[in-house]
Amino acid sequence: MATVSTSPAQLDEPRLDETAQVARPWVTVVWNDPINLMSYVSYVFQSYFGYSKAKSEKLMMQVHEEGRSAVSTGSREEMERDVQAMHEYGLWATMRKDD
Amino acid sequence: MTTGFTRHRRSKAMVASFSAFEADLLRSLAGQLVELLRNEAAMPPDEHEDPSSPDALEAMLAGIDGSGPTAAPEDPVLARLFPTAYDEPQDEEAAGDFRRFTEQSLRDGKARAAAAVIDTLEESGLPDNPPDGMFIDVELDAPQAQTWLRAFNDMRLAIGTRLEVTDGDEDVWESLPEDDPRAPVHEIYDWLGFVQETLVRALMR
Repeated sequence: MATVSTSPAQLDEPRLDETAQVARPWVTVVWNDPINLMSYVSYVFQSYFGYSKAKSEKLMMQVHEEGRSAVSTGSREEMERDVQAMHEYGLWATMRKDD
Repeated sequence: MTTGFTRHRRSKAMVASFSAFEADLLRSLAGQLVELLRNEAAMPPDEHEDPSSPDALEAMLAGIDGSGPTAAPEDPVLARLFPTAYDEPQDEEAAGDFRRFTEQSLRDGKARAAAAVIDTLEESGLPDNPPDGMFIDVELDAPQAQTWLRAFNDMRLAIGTRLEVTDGDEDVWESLPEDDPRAPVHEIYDWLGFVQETLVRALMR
């Protein structure tokens, strides 16, 4: 059964138990997977985030060698946008609170 | 066999010439991806029950009004195409909400990209039953090239996930006996990777 219509923005209001840590930023993490081409991952970082070629390749190599890389930092809403964009490109991305 | 995409010096278009067999194969793979994405509709499970109920209508609008699924798809390919967004256990509810609001539009976007590949091939002259010896010349502008890139990547994600490829497993695939049904599928997977690589390089030049 469908719930009453709500906007995605409402999801981002801090719940009571989170109010103490709202200032803590979120990060978007891209994970290594055996299918995505290294050149394509680097291309995605350049074209979506507008990162330089050098920065994009560094992040891509970090994903490849260390298994994951934090590719962007920001508010929860911003990271939801970035994660969704990464999924549109087919990258395996998740978000979490920065630690 | 195609040598993949290059960037045309003057028009800046990404150009490639495919044999009829290759173009037909691409159309078929893109068609299978569209089918996979559209067939197993992203609906909450309780809305599968009665297609004539008002809920079914609401389910068609899933993602617009937040009535999309909250659980990850069971099919490993779909689970890979639509990963869980929040990876920490305490964020499970947020992950469900995120999926509810985004999965349907992600599915639509991916299906549209794959359908665009089919359209471009047919607009480039690919007939229903292409004769041997025919070649299909494809010319993509930058936005079309980006769409093709995403579609190629999704096709490779689908095939690679089905094959259960892993990092550094090339030897395994090379030593498969010829009659192993996975062998030709892996060849297609490799070929898609080759073409995608040429397209990324052409775009970044």
